[in-house]
Amino acid sequence: MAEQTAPIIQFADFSCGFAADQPPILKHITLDIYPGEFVLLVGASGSGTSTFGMCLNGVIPYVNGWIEGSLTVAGITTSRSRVAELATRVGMVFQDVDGSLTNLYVRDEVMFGPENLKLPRDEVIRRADAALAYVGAEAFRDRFVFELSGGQKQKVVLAAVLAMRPDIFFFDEPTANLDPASSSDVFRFMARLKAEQHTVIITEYKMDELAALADRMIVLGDGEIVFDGKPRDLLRDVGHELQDRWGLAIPQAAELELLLRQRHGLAVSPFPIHASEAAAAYRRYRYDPAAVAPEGAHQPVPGEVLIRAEHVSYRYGDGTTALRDVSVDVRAGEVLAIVGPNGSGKTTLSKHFVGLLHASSGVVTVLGRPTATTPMRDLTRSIGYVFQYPEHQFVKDCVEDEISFSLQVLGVPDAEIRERVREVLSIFGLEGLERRHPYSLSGGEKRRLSVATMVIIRPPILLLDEPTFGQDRRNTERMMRAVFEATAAEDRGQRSTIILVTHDMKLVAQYATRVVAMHRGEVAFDGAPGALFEQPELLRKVNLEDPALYQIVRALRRDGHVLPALIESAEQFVAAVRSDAAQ
Amino acid sequence: MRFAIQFMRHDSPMHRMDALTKMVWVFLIGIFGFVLGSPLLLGASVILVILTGLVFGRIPVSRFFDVGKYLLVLGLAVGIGQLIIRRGGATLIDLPLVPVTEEGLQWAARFMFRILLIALASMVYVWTTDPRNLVLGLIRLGVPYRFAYGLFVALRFMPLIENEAEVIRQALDVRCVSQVSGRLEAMRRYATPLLVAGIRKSENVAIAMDSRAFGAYPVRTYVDEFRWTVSGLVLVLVYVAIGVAMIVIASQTGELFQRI
Repeated sequence: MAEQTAPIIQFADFSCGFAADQPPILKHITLDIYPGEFVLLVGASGSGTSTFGMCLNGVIPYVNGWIEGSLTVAGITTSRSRVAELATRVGMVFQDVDGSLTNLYVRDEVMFGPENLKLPRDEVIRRADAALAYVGAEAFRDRFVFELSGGQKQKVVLAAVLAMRPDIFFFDEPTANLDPASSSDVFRFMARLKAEQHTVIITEYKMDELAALADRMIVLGDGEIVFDGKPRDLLRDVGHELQDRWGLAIPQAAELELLLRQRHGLAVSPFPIHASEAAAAYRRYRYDPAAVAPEGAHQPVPGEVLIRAEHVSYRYGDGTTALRDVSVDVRAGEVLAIVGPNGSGKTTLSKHFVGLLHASSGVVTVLGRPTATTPMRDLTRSIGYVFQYPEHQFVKDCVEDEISFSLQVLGVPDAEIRERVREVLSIFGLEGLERRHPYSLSGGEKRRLSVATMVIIRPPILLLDEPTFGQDRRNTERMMRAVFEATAAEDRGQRSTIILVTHDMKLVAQYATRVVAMHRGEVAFDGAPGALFEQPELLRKVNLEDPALYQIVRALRRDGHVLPALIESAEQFVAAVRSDAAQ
Repeated sequence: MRFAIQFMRHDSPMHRMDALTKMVWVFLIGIFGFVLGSPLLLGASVILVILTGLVFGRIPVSRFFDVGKYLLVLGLAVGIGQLIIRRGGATLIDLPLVPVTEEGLQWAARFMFRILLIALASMVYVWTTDPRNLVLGLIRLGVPYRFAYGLFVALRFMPLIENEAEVIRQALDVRCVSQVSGRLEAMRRYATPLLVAGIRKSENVAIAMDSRAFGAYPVRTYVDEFRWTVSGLVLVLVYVAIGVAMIVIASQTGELFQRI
């Protein structure tokens, strides 16, 4: 960081929005960012972090929207420049990886930017080769981009931006669609950019890896800068507020330290913000494993088999084998997480459960009925399937009709529909939005609505595909609370079985009673989450990583501390630390 | 996933041909389709195009089946329409509402084969033409690169839209939309999210391209160059010869330029 030099980005009383008749999204931002700074830009859904990026590359106001005040990027006033001109100075990496890949071949994709910059042919080739080597993507340079895995595609996008040699890199949730191991590749790329003193701004919900990497953390709340400082200082001083008021998921290491300070008056210095720092600092503490009270979520729940997949194999039309001899039972009352890297077969398997796909060989039964021969209408009474993108499932023009539609299909009487809709609206926090068009809701509201449309049927099984995609901590917790409340009504006996298809290992650690890890179409692991997190080799093999809390616990156990393997939450960890802790 | 409207990478004579002469080939077939009036000759042309794709493009038979079944449904629907509105000559089958007449049958076959001919030739073009070469060819012809890339992006993103449509169909199937809505209502329900997804995707693509300095300068560098190919020219000449022969035959039987 070189604050003596002139800022490379300057916001001066800057406000912006999309429509003139709606409130601004960013409000009165005054901010200087200096060359070589690594800035972590965070905020809950709708706080304006993505909009911030769209201002940097001139999409606002050149393509869409309005601005007030001024914004200068690398000496260019954005209001007087086109996006393409600003692109010569700002490299953007977007959340939508597929939408970012505009060419057919990997090499063409990486050459596309330098070709647009009118560079000499040899220079274009030289830059493309260097960028591909930088991100470790030389091996697939001649492949089609659509043939690549999610992680490989993101590497190509990074190489494409790198080849343009921009002054500033802006990353908008670059790991949103990636499995944990691919996310780590992206974070390693970031670390390299930082070491080479590039100016980097990144918006990301996954703070565990990035907080320790960033020089500076800027927190946006309701379109304004609410905090701006060094990540360690902010997490120490206002960590609780970031969680509780601003809905952010702070690093688990910081969460533990804040709780330890609050509960036991214990404090380490420097304030740990990364798992490795916490593990090193907490070696000095003494632990009482007996004090860890089971929270209940991970207790095995025996129940009857609701879904049975027996020796299921599935091959797509192009010959790709997506599932190989998969056998899985799903039992009543379980919270089953199906995890695995992109393309491992987890969504393919889950689509078999609801009859959207039929096995090439083997049998899938739901409540004893084979899905291949049971009408979809009957299957949907047994299993509610919530797709990754809520808009894909919306069929009506207002929230209330959207929810009641699910019951109308089943021929439920109107009076009962009205009652159940009222109940579900309340549980999912959608009251007051009854007449709103589903497309006009916020990301969190859309997600809750899509779940509500399935939960209202009261299916014995509820399947959520990537439920935390694009959701901040507050929205995720609110949705999961609603899911558990809505599926555990007393008059219906045992709670519905919940299946989570996810990359989010924190979600798995927090809620799942069992994990099935898929790898190349096969079941690589089937058991308790704690048992999975205890196997680093297996995690590496299936491109997964355990949450920071487990990394800390594992490191402490490796050092000889007696701690249960199945610590599920920061609360449990803190309970295990003796208040006379320092050894 | 296998997508219908997508370039298939193979090493075949048609794949090696340049994109422009191959485009001339498609135009030639379009001309045959409208000039020839004989259902027999149109049917023969359809077979010729399929054989060309199979032999010189190494397109798998299954791919023709995948696409052909939809085209056949479309062709049959249009053909039946012709059966209803065109009546003349001897009545072949005396159905109560739609008597099948000689003339009606001829028009039905003519329209069905025309649709199949033009659509299959276009598909063979898409399957065997690297969109990158098409862009380079269009730019060689003097088309501004922004327009040429517009076409390229449309071809590039067709599979993504196909995929999106499939996911939306599945997402709405689990809500039983098709079972409780009328056909038109169900189509509206499918179309809305697809339209929204399409608009969002195209916006994302446009921003992604602009963000990589696309259009920053009036000209840009091209690492790869367009090259005309002899094999493309040979294909066009062979088809010109076949077309002329067919036109001669058709003119002798009075089946040229059938008025619609």
